[in-house]
Amino acid sequence: MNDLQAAFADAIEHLELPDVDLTPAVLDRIATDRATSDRTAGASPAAAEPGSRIRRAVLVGVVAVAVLGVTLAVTPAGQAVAAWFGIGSTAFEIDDPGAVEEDGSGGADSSTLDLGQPVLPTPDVVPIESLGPPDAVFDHARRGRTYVWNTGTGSEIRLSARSTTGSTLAIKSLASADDVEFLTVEVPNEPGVPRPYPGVWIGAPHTLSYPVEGLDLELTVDAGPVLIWVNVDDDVELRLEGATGKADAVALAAEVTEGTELLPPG
Amino acid sequence: MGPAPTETDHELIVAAIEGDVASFGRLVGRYQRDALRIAVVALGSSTDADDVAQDAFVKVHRALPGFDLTAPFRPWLYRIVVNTARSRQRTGRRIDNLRLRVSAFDAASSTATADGPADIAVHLDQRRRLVDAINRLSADDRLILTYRWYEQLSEAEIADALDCPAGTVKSRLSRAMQRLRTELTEMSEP
Repeated sequence: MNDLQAAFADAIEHLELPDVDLTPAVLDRIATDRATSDRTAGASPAAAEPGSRIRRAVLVGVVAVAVLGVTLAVTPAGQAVAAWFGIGSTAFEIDDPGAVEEDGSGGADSSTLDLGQPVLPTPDVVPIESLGPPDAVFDHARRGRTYVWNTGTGSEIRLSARSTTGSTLAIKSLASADDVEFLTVEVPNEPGVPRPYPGVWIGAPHTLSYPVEGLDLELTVDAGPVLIWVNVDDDVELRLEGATGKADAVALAAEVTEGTELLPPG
Repeated sequence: MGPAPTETDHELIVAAIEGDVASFGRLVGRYQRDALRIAVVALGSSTDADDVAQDAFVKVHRALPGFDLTAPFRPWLYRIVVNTARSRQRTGRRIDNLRLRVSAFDAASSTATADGPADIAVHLDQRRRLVDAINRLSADDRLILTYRWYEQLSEAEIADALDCPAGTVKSRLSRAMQRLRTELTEMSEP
């Protein structure tokens, strides 16, 4: 360590810090958190302790994987899959690395707006407070809704919500399992009470395939970086596209406190 | 009954996951000064640092079931602290007077290690000048320098804390150090 490095360490050592003992306040909040969970557990099986939420998320993933297995089994055109896994109603398929190429667009899933119907007038809801009211909202066959913000640089940030109950399975094809990073999204369910939800970040370009409801048709589109997480309590899959990176996406996702409220009514 | 033997982080974390809140309390006690310091560095001010650190520990408790028990605890804690600080800056009220400050108490207490009044004055002035330069850096630069030169984290741990590829840590650190030198040089110029 040279002189400047040592001096830097000395300066940081002597920074003015709040003179507080955090332990009592933290333990109080944990106790309050537990009491809240205990009260709501009776009313909603989904509002259990964090561990069971995570286990439930795993279960959702397992169900998704099982459905994918059935889908592939009955689809004559189903291709060999080296490995697969999923979250919510999205399954991941590891394909031939050569099959997924950067198309230069670097954009978000175009699928979120394909066949969507603009909702007019724009609903009075602000899912991400720091972005303000969305510039447009699209509905997808009453099962999902996409909120769009124009960032002013020709690009968009999109937040999509769709119910994992009864939704058809979307399949993301990736070059490598390493492209999928599992993480948690810490969404507060009430002021001061964060709630981590299981999620994944996919930073690499990939493709997304999904069946179009009511038509014997499956669309495959190029997709860019996306954060997907599951609001386990409400069984809502949320998807954020167009953020500047993983940290930005996670920070924006942390502001999304709603679940079913983001879905189309009915 | 004598004092409890020192538990490892791993033991405290496992006990906390199994529902032992007191063990988590001891983990908080062990790391709260570190968490506060990282919050101050990330925010660029001691304002709100206690709230950020407190929020971060609550998040840590909620996220413990998903913690990789083979990984070191500190980088993970720091990542949550910094994310909490950024979230607060993004959504919270504006923080005025964004400046790191040297503790007056520590400044006074450091006289015990100096040789004489002149040395003390020079030493304190140098420290304040350095903190002024640190204030001019970005939060990312402040954090990576703090992780390396104060916290003594390894490159792998820094990558974990910053949530960036390990291969980029060395170059980021080098650039941050260069920017600190530049700030110090510019401050020295008349």
